[in-house]
Amino acid sequence: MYRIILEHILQNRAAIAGLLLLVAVILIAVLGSFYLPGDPWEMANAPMLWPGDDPDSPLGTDIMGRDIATGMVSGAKVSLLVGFASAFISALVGITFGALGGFYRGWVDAFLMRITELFQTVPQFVLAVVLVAVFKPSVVTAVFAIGIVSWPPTARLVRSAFLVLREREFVLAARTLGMSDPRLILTQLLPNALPPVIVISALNIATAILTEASLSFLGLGDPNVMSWGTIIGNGREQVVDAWYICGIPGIAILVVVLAFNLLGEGLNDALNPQLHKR
Amino acid sequence: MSVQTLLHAVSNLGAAFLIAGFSTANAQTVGDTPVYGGILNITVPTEPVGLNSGINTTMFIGEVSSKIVEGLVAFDVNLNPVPALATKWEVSPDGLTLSFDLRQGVKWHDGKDFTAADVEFTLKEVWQKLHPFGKSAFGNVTKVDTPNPHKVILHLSAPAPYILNYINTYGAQVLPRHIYEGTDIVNNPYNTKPVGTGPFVFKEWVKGSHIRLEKNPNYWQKGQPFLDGIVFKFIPDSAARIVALKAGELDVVLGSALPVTSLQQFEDKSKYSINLIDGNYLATIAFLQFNVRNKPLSDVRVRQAIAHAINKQTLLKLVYLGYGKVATGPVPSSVSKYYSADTRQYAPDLERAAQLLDEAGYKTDKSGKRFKLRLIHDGAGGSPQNIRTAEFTKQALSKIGVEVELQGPDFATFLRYVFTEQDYDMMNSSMHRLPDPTLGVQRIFWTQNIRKGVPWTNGSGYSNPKLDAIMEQAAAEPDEVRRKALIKDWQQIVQEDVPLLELVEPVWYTVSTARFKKLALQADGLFASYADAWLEPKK
Repeated sequence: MYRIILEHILQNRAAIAGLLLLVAVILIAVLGSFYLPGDPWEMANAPMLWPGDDPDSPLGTDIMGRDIATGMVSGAKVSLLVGFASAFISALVGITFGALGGFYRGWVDAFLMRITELFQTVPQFVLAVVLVAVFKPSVVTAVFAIGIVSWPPTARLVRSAFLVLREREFVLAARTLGMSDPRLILTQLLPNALPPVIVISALNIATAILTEASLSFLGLGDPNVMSWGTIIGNGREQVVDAWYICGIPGIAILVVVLAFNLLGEGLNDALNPQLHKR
Repeated sequence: MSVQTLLHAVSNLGAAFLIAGFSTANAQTVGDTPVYGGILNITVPTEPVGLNSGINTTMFIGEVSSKIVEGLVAFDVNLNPVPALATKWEVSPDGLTLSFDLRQGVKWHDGKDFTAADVEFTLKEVWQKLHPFGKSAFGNVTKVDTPNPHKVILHLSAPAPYILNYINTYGAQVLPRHIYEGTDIVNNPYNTKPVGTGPFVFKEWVKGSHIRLEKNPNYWQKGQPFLDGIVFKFIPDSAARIVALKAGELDVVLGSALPVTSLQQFEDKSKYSINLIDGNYLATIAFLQFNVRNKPLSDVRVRQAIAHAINKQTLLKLVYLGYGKVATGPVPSSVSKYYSADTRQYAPDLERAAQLLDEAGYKTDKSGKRFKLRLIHDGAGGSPQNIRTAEFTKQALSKIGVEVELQGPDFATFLRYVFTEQDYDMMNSSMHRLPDPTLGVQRIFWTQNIRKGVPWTNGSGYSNPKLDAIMEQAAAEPDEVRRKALIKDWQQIVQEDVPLLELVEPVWYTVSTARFKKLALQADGLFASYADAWLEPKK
């Protein structure tokens, strides 16, 4: 089945574009660490150098003379780490809530969905800000906060898939064979409910990267880690005199978010049986 | 860039530079041919919560209310008192009585006469009971006599030479007795629609938008004010303030309300002036405070090593873009009467720093590290300068093998960590030192001021009985010469023990259109009445 999915993805131009962009960013994050191994906080050069002014700082320096290229590499690692980790948390929580609710229905479902609604009614970003502010701002709390605020859509999706699947014949057959509930959920229902979760997780990664950048922009990022949002936040005062400080990481965020969106779209096309004929 | 280079060069010259170095800036805002008429549009960094400086010393309140309600004196460029509501003052030779002659013929904005009873009432009920610093400033006043409506005599339990440094509209605002007597002063409705004696009369306050003041036609200074009125506009976003000033919607931006990085856009002297002395009265110093209760910072050699590791000159240039000067001790250079540069200084010297740490027993491990410290700052949501100073410090200390973990919580959490839980290693912030060390500086070092849970007290936990004795003696010493000597010893001890490392004296800057002029500049210009201010007509 997954070979078919892969083929579908490879036939989808948007998905290929997304994948290529993503591979490029991962390469920058990995290879960049070899080419620019320095500390991104090091005040390495004269402040406010424009890109190209000095070959030592190809992307220029910020207000305190910190090399933007080094900061960008560090930021790529942070963004990808936060994106994947918090999307993973959000998928884990979402699948658990959705699967249990959809499978057992009744009061379990009602209880879990009320909790989900509780999270859905609070604005996501505000809740993330509060969570990070209450705990100490760090990469771990950011991952945790973003994961915690972004799982409800996943839970809803998994629940609706489970509600449909649990009535199907193959499930009934498995049940008749005496399969236990956990085994039924994990081996029969979940694999069939997974495709839409993969799509939404890809989009979640994009949202998570944006949210992390927004938190850092507001000064709520990890103060010891240089992320793209940190660079933008530091540069916003000088946006009139030196737009490149905000511009370069801004473009990077745009590219990564676009990559994940394209990939998500492509996955959606590939995984949705109704769309295969198009 | 030219201002930066100028400041950078001048700051090496020493104490006298502040006035001399900025004289070019002064010349722009001072004029001698006043023009009548016009409305002045001002902005302050944050909309105030009330307009009574007598009960709340937040700067933004003072910046607005100083135009409406006056103090006994104002301060000139050199921080000497000049007459306002008091025309003359005298200290008895033993320092135990202080008498004021009050200005005659002054009326409150509602038409009632201003008399000595107003001063007596405000002193007893407001300054002594409700004013955050007034409690200590007027703590020695035991009795107030008012032999006639234009004379006030203060009797003191011990000399309090610092009172005269503190009776402007920010430190001791005179409130109308007939409005406040017998009321709950803190919740009096007039706190948001003040009645004063000043050159401008309060007209309206539209929350979230503006405060409008009109000319007081009965002002005691004949011929003033020159302006027809003042409008304080509240613009929360600093980028929007830049645009408003450029578009001519604002004439004056008070209290460093523009980012320091934007100042180069206002260097054209034909269009704008940048006043750099308005906040000298506050005498602010940015510092790095050590929690001396914790190892390894309890060892003075470790603190001295850190002092040697931080290049204040570079910090001033990078973080403050040269707007300020290097701090040399706990008393700021603008408090020229008591300032002494002749104390122990810590030149940037990484070798000496490493040597001190070795001596203290903190040798480097295989990876070149010695120990790890936390550095908390109040920058998140506040001054970007404090965040950058913390980032600078982290880099500087990494060069001597000290690893720094930055913490930037919200302001309330910051205060709780530092002053309540005392759970921190180092702290970056800035504090107003005010014109008198007894009031503004003693609180940071005095053993009795180690008060759990009270912000801006002695948060380092530093306690030195010898210094305590000197500070207490200085507080009650009526003889200026002896007092100066005591305060000099005080600065020397603090510089030796470095419970705080004083980093930079940031300058408060007021950016205005070049059309804005005043007859004289004031060291407490943030709290100037603007009776002598005018707007030149547009060319």
